[in-house]
Amino acid sequence: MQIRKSNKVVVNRIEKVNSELLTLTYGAIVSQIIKDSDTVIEANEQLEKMGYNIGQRIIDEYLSKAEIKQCRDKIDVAENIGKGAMQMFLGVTAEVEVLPETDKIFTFNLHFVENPLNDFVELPEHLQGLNYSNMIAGAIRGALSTIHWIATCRFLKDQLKNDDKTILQVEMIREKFKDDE
Amino acid sequence: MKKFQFFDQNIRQQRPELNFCTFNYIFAEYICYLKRKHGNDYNEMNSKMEQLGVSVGIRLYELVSLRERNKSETKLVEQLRFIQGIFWKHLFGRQAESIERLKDRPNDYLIRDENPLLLKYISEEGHISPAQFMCGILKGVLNASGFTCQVSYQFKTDERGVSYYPHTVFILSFEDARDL
Repeated sequence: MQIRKSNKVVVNRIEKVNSELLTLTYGAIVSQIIKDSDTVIEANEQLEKMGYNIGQRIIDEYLSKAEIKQCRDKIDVAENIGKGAMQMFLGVTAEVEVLPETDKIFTFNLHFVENPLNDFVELPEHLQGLNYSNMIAGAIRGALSTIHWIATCRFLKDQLKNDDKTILQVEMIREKFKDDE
Repeated sequence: MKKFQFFDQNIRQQRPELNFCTFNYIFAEYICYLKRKHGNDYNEMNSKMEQLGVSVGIRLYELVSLRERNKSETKLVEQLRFIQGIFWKHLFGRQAESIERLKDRPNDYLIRDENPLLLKYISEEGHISPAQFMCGILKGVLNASGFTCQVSYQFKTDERGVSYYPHTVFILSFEDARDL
């Protein structure tokens, strides 16, 4: 049982697995995808697409396991992603930095200090363009799409590319239904 | 700006355990990726999954040896005991049930696991299975410790055809008789 005092989210009965198994499996999957893809851009897209599929299902897991009430505003959504979901699935929390809203597009940055998928990883010279944790970006996009928010996620900074922290920027806008006019 | 180097991290400190469903989602998505890429070619998919397991197994062997015990074995039986006991426990939280040897196949050893953790939420489909990934891990570990072998798996069924899924038996075939 985990209790986070800041957002009062209680997560019940998490089944655990060795973190190194996850890290190494993710790394092996990424390297297979790179071998199968022709370019780094294609590999990035493939990772993002896989993340999207995961995200569509993982949001149900999050909403069912974490006892949270309805989010009051968009900042609550951001906090749930950055603190609640990241803590539940990856064991790390990310700082949420909310940027000014422009044109109905709500933007926030997630600052990751550590990322369990990045353990033991070093990007070689010819793969400097690879967004290694693109699956996380895809998962956020997929999760938001299930609850009718269109989002784009991209990495502004990445620790594997010699920045001091990883920053993931999420822009979200409410999906317009056809009968909303 | 401080350059982030993974060499600076302390390897002896282990990250606390993570949510199992993260692993499951990622692995299930990987299986979907294989299906998208290779269609109905199950042999190709199985060999890719085994390769995945081999690359994980090689690295896991070094990590687990570092964390649990610094000695590596030269005798095969001792190495198998290490795998069945300490290695399995480190990875999956339980020891594998037993190591066995059949009379009519002297080159083979069997490792039996009654409830493999990775198969807990995956149904028995028959053609492709995370058990192949586990075979790859075993193969990687044994190859890295100097014993070459092929690993395959079988789900246990009894004479009447009743399936005991996910009770799995991993069959390790050693070609080199000197290893035995």
